[in-house]
Amino acid sequence: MTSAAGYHRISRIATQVLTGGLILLFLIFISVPLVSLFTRVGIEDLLYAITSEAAINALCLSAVTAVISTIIVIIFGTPLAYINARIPYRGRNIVDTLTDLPIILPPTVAGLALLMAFGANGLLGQYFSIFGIRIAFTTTAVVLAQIFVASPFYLRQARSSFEAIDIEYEYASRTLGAGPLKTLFKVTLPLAFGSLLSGVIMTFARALGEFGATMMFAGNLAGKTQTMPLAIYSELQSDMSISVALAILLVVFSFGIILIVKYLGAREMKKYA
Amino acid sequence: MLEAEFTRSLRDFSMEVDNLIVHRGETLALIGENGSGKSTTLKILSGLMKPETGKITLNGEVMYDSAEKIHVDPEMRNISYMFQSYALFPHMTVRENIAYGLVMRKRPKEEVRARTDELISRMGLEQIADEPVTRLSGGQRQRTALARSLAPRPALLLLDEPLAALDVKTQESMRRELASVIKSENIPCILVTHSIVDALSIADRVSVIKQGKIVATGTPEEIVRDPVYGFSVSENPNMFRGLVHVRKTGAVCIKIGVIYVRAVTTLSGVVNVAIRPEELILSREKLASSAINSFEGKITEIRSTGLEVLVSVDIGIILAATLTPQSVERLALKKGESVFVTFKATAVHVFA
Repeated sequence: MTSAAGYHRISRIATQVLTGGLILLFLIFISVPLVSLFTRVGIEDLLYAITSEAAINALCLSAVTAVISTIIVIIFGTPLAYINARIPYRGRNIVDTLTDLPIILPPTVAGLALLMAFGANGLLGQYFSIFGIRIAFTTTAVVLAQIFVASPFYLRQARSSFEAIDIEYEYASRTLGAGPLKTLFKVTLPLAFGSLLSGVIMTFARALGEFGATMMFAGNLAGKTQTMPLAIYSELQSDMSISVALAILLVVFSFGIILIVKYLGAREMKKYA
Repeated sequence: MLEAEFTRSLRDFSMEVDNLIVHRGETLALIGENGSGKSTTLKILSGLMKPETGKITLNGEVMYDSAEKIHVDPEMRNISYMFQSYALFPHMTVRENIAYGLVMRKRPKEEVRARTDELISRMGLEQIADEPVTRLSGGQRQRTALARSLAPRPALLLLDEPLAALDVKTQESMRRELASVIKSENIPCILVTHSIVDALSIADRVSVIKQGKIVATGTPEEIVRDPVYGFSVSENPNMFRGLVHVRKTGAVCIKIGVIYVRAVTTLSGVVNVAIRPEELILSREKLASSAINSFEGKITEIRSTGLEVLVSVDIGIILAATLTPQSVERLALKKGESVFVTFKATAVHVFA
């Protein structure tokens, strides 16, 4: 063996060891905290904790508010995403940037902003107050906070779903006698369905996990504004096992969601390849 | 009958079409290079794109009129548009695709069924009628797209490069099939193509479009002969005059100089003959093939034009054939040597 070949071999092994080590460390870093959640409580404790009043309240509130905010995001977001995908109007980039902003904004900033807008003395809130309508620190505020932080996930995904559909399908549908709305429901939405659905799921998951903005804008009132993430935070001070049980629920749920989204994505790719 | 005149400025040039007419039951080929405005014309006629000025009427009904501010939406025009990509709905079966136009027009169920079945059997799609369109071959896609366009019995059929997405072998057979289907449905049709062969074999009339303007219109024969817009044929070195002989067997021969060439034509007397250099096959041995015209001759010239090589052969008349440099090398062709020239009767374009 020449020394050059030997050197080459050593450097190759070194690279492999280094790469493998980095990957391993990273995977350990991600999985150890998750695993330690599960080691913390036994199955009986888990069942007990999940069936406790605080947990059930938080669970129901989270499920209801996240479903409502997801539906609202779909209703308001779909037309916007479609138009942004199809029509190159002036200022489209600005609209896009604006709707993307909540993704990178710290949730506490989002919560503060919402408070400034909808709080009792807020920009809009003061007019609601005249009619005796209070928004901040109510369940409505929970939903608004979730919409604010989760909507970009749907908008981005929906826009790229629509962009991925060749406009000639819509053209063909129009020349075959279907108006714009019929074309949307018969051609565009069915073709975009899988991709839109993964956007919906991501949005729902983000709404479910919302913490910062809710805390600032809706507060932490058990049964009213205390969603799962807030309950996890609160129970940490009183009953740790409930906190951990709720956390486990969220982890399992989130893991499932990512699997579903990946599966849908792969199926979509195969279907029309 | 379609009458259209319109203008529309595009990025590179302005569309100025002032005399686009398609008569009842007529097929018009719109021929031009890529980016000459062919597809834009179809988009404007179908209502998918709005012109800036002009007027479009179809069977007397106004589809667009800039003066009256009328723009009929595509779904109300009853103009079918077959896209170059076919744009078959990938989430539907062959049958669902074909029925789509009828279902959208809310035709009665029995009518939808009957018309769809009729077209499925006409196009030979029975075996795959309930397959999703994503599993079809190129030819099957083309047939499905054509059936879908024809199903609602449109007042006008627009075909955008209907054969371009097919491989060369399928093109040949589909070209004939397309021509026969269009004729039998008797629907006026505009066929956009950049291929003179498509235009010659399918169209009744040909319009040449250049930079957004229709610069010449005539019968295929007139356009082929046109000194300016006669396309490759005008640069064709293989242009001859000959005399049509009809033999007792019914076979048509054309006497050109001292040789007889088999051809397909209904013309008689003195005719013009064009044989495209790319349709000639050169070989060292006499070919046993379906191509009926085969002559032996001597190579008089080998001239390279860059990507292709033009080989002239004296077979009594001088015929030029285009070959790739690789073929010239493989056959080891040299000036003065003897070769066989072979071509089909259908490769002989005959016009008055």
